Amino acid sequence: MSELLVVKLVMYGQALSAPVNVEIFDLRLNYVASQWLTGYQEGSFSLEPGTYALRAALPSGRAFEKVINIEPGVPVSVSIPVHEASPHEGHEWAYVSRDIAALGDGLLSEDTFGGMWARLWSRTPGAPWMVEPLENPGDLSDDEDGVSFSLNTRAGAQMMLQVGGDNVPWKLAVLPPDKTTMILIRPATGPAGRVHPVELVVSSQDWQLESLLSLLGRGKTDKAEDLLDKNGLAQEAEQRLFSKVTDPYGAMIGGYALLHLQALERMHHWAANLANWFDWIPDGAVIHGWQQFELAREAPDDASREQLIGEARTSFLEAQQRGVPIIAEGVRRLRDGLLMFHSNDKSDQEVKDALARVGGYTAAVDFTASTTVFTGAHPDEPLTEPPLGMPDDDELISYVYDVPLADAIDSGALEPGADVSVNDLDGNTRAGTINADGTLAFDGNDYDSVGAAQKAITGRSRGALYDWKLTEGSMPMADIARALRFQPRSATKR
Amino acid sequence: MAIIFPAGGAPDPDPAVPATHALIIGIGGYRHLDGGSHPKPEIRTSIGVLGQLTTAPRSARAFADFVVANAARWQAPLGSVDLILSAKPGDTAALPNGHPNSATFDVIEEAYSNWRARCDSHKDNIALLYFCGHGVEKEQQILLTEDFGRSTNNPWRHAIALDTSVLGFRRCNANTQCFFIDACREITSPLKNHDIDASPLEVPKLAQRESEFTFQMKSTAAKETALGPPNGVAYATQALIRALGGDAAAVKGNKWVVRTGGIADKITDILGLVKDDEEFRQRCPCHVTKSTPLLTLDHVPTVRLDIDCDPDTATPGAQLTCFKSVLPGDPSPQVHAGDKQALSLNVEAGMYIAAAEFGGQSFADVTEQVIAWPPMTVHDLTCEPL
Repeated sequence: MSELLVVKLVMYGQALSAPVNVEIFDLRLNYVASQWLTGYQEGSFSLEPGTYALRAALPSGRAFEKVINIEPGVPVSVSIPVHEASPHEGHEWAYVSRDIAALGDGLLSEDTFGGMWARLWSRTPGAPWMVEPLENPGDLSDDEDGVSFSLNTRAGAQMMLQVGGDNVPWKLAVLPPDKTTMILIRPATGPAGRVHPVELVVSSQDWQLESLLSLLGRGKTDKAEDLLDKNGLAQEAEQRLFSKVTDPYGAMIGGYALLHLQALERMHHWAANLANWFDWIPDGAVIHGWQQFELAREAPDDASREQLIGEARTSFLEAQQRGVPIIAEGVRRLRDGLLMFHSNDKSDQEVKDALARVGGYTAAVDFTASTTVFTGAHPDEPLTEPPLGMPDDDELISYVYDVPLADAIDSGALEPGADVSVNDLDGNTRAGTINADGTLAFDGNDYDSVGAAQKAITGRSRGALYDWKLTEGSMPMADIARALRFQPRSATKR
Repeated sequence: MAIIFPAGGAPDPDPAVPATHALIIGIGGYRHLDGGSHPKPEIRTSIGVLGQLTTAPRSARAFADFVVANAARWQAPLGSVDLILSAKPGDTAALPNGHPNSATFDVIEEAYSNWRARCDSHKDNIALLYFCGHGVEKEQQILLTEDFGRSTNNPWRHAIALDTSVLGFRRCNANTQCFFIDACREITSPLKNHDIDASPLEVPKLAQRESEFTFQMKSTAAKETALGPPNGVAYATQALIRALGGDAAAVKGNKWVVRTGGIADKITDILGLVKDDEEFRQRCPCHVTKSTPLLTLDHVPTVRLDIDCDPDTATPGAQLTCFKSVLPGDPSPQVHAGDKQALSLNVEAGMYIAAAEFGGQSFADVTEQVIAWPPMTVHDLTCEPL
């Protein structure tokens, strides 16, 4: 006599439709059953009485486990606290859908991230890259652990987000086109000097397809295939290719998935259309190039084979001309495609030059991310040793978390000579003064930020912006920073 | 070149029977680099200052030992292992007695050619290529052979263009192809200013056949270094051996199976267990075309199971115990106990019962069920104050 086990995912963030793989195992951990669930639906399993292990695996790789005891005549209901994967509801999407490290000890209030800025780059076909302000993003969730927000990217334009700072080597993230795009900027885990201090996480809100991309990136191709088959995503991937007129980004994820899973027959001629109709997206040309390779393998005669190979070469060169692919897998595939041609004909200067340019990106790209993220000075200039500090033209930068005190003074939000105070670990009130040069005079020293002063008292920067207050009126420094964050620097100057 | 399995050298493969064929390379001695038998300071202008390695041959040997010790567990039974080693001058302990001390480009090229022919004999063959030694990266990763720099005017002639070689090998008939590369991927300053024309072991053909299951593991992210203890086994290789030995295993039906996708998914976590140091951060990027089984275990894998109290303040007053949940008729489980300290156990994967007893002091006794999954499970018992 079997009993019902009802499983519900407890999620609060944007990624409610991300697929979670719930598996049931017996006492010896033999597989019993599995289902894909989302935050919108409950799952039910019919189980014989006994003890079971339940494992709910998120697309990010995080997993929740529970022991379930099924007794005769007693249905059981289980809630999986998926929300606990993330330190904040507003960051939940990244911890659910993307393969990112567990939360580390880094804090955006630390000196490393002091004055960290961001700016947007955009380019329309035929035009040069332009900087545009990053202001008032949507869904803002800002905390010392990270800052998450959404941006509406445009159709017909390539867009990138760049961050940098005095201790933050400049880094760029390619953004999906024509999407409400989620971005998380957070301290990376790992020792300084070996790992870039900032992790940039990017995703569209197409959680099913983005999850598919994460599974493929993690090597969980069996799960990706299972998701494709059981959730109807195979049809969805084909459909996205079919409907690319309205959704080129979804189409390119579908294309990469079908290419990855060697499901060429499902791609038909839509890859060519994706490449041709969206001539500003490199990924369409990459996918089309590899499809031509695959087709050439099955070509009925030498002439058609040569023609398909020629088309592949044209596609790869075209892709490189368009810029860096949006999906990291595309950068690898473009490099590999060009390597194939280069190793067959080293005198092909066009291929050699294209390979050198793509090689600049492959050396700078973080291939552990799903979307393309690379270190560099400019969208067209990937660098393994990128610059630090402010760009020469700093009018359109926006601060991400900490706002330098000098800028707060420039904006009028803070007056030179203002008294500030904080309670130390013993509960005693300690006072400091804002200097005209944007430093904080405290205990006989001048600190560059309240975070640095906080660290001098407690050994950590945690809570600095909330704990330090203007003595007059008790306004937390966090309120001043929040008012100036994500505002173009030019707009905040008096 | 030295075939260490089977004893007596590699026979011609039986085209009717799939097998696993391994080519394992560990290069610690570099004759023309600093500290080598014939150093050429002038090649520093091509690559910078690089010296001898003690971990590389030891890592290759450790991997070879694992491959051979698990000969029957591979998805296709082990068919051959070719082990190529070089050791730095005077490091005699790095090589087995009588093993050739030669890992030149020519030696590797010939071994590759023979290994490739063996791999090509059946579509269900598994091809394993392991390399540990010096590496650098520009447009692709480049692996240095023992005689790197032999040609002073073209030192890259004796270096392997890895990614081109991997692309070339994909047309080999063996449908499962694994490349484990434990080498640095730094871009040294001289590399930035030079065109590098390293030699592929195989040139890809345009529109060639592609293997279905290619797996590539690199021991470190681009621009970063691969590390290991002097005279020991490199950390990424230790992690790889643990992954294959069960840390990356998952249940498939009622067997524990190590799949390429499982290694890709867990290798960086396993590396964290190998080198349990917050300041250490080496990531192992992997690329999997399609996941496939590599090994089926004949045992339940071992899991590190850490049991503690939440809050931490409860631990000093707790008597912690942990034992495996068993079915009627199973042998009685071993009870692990910790007096006033957290438990850190190496146990079989499975379900456990963990308890904290306080003798009526401070906190209420608590018992919880725990699932121990490889490679590691951390469980905090929720302790309520009295």
